[in-house]
Amino acid sequence: MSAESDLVGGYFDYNATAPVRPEVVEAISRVLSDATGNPSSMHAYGRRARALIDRARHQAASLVGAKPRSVVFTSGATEANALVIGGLACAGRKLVVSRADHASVLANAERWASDGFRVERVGVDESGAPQVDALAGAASGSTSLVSVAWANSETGAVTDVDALALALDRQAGDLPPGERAPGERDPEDRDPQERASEKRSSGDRGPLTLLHLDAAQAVGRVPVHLPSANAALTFSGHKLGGISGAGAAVLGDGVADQLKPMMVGGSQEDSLRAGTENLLGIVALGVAAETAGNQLEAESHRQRELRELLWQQVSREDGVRRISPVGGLPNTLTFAVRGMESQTMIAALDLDGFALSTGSACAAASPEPSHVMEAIGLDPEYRGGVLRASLGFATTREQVLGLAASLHTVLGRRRAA
Amino acid sequence: MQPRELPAPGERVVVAMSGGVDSSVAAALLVEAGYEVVGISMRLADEKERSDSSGCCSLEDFRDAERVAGQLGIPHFVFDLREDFQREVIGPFVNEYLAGRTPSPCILCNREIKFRSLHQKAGELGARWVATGHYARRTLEDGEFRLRTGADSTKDQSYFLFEMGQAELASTLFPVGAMEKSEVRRRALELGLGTADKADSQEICFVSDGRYAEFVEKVAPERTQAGEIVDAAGRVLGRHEGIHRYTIGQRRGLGIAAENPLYVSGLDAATKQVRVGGRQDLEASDLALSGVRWTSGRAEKVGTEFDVRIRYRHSGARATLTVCEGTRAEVRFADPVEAIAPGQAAVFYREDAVIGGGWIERRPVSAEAAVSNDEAQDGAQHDSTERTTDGTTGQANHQVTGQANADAREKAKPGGPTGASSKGETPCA
Repeated sequence: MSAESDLVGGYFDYNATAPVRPEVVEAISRVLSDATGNPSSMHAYGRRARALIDRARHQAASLVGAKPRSVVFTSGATEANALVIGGLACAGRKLVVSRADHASVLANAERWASDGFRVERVGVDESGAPQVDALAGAASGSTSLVSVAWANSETGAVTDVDALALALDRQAGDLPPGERAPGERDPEDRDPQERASEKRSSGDRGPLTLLHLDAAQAVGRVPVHLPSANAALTFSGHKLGGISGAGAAVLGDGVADQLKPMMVGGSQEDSLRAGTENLLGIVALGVAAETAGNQLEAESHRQRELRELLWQQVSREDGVRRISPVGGLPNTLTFAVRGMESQTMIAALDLDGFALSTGSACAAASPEPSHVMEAIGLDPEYRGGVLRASLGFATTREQVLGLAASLHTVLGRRRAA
Repeated sequence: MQPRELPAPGERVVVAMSGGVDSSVAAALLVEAGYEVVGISMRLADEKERSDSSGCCSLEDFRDAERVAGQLGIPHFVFDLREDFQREVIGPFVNEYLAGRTPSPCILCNREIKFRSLHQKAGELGARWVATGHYARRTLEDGEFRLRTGADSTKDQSYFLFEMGQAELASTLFPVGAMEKSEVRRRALELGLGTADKADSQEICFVSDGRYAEFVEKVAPERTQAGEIVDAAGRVLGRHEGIHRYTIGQRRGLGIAAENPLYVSGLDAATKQVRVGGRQDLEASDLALSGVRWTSGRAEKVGTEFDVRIRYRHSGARATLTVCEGTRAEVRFADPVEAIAPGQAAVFYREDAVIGGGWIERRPVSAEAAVSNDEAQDGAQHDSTERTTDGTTGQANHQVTGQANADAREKAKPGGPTGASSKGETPCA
């Protein structure tokens, strides 16, 4: 029987949210008890608050290898997406997305479509990662914003971001395909901001293509960085182990220049995002980012091993198919089961104290197969039975084995075919 | 295996929770009885299709269910069964109306959704028992499960459960079936359940305001057709906008001026005609049924008498089983009944126990009972002579209401000797 209070014990839904890290709890407890003021105030209370935000800004920037001034704090990843997409939406610009993108990205596209912002969707490969050439092709010939998920929340597939950025630069005419400018170093060695500012001064350029990277599932799990000055990346605090209510948009210089703020009425965040800052959420995000960054290599290794241990157990069952690619997020194992609906399996596992999901939380209430599963061409017999186990920093080997045992029991209740 | 009347302490029981007071109290009673209770709400229809709240199954109702589950300390899940429901209930509902029949979707829902889909889900959740808030009683007597009317006769829902056989009854509980509605509400208040004074759902759950005709027109506009209203002789008296708008016995909506009141006496999907006649044309003594089920699993013998309810709000009329072949049967009423509507269910009762039932087909051509050729099954021991011949047929002033939306009122006649046919002692296979 499950202990309803023992949530973190059998918790396998880190891609929906992570438990708050102990380091974060400690840090925000201190903020709660210290007297801090409005970060916009002139006095000592204001300074104290500003210092906390400044520290968090450095921590967030450090996680993605950016400059602190590139970081804009928001109320979460959804708002950060809205800021980037909405902030760059204008007549004549095209938004290029993949079919596997998160619903919030697509919803933002729809929101601005009436203003002459066109939307084009390209396909994904069998692991759910967007096809780089298709994206670049769709972006060519017009002023575009390409928006992709760094890692897909349902499958864990990781996009080859550097290849994409390179392909977009070539499409935009900055570089002939396959060639580098004389004396140019390998693009990976160069500071992307430098490269961008050089190009801006060169004069002869094609239509500008900007790149938005939804990194909500990727930060803290795989190394994440801005691949060029014409890029922006977004993420949330709670998925890193912070608290909900804070996120960040990290803007390359080429993007910051063009961005229209979505929330106005104050000068916070360089007037890019008005409103008194969510001090607790921001501090939490910073501490979570720093902690996750410090542990990234060790944790991704540890989690990948646990992920494979889980798959080794699960793969012994009849009628299961792996969906997550081995090269995808180290913490995500998505698989499909034949003969039982996702919603039923999730309920049954919940009764045993294990928390899993089927994909994005929004899809959980319905047995409708997600558009991602259709996009990757999953066998129809399996589409209704997709489960996602996503682990994290508090997951243990015992929990993994416990989940496997519970799953074995649940799948044993399938009717003989 | 020995049939068990009740689960063992700590055994897992799934309870269907609509968010209404009946299923809320049912859940509470199960928790009190010491079982491991799991609450399940079923999403059956699209909420946006319902502009009013007829009291069931909106997202708000599911939140109510979840709140009650939280108060009781039990897990709660919402399962989306819209696809099943569309296929098993809504589809047939629309098809029946278009075929000139009057459907009974709640019976199909009970059979397919509550006692098939839900039982399957329960099994997948490791539960061998399912409970609902139905007003009906289920007892274990002499090794056999019986389905009886709910203690509260004004709320009795046994009619809708006639498709339940031994297998279904073996694993189903009706915790509030032995209670009066007022008692249920009182328990809800005592327990502090938020749904204590929630209004009862009165209508079919997927159609708002009882607007069945509009629903059918919206779902299948290409299949609704206008046609003629004719009398028994075939004379055209007027026009109608679709046979799906009518049910047998209906008086309103004909738009025909006549000396004597006219009632719908027949619906013909092939010719798209609505046939009307006087009140006497609504009477019939014979009933033909398909899909007949017997609660005990054994058919009654031809010649046996029992009470038959031809609608939910029908108190029943004494009839004799005249034909029984596989899942086909015919009964003859001791006294003619009014407005037999094909598509409705006829449920057989012996006192307060449901003994079986079937689906009403068009009137049999022959009024003479045909003798079954099939060999008898051993063990049919029902003795028809102990039946009383009054008290269970007409009671004065009962209203015909419910899904048929009919205007006809049933004639109340005191019961007389049934004159049971002595033909065909052979029960059906």
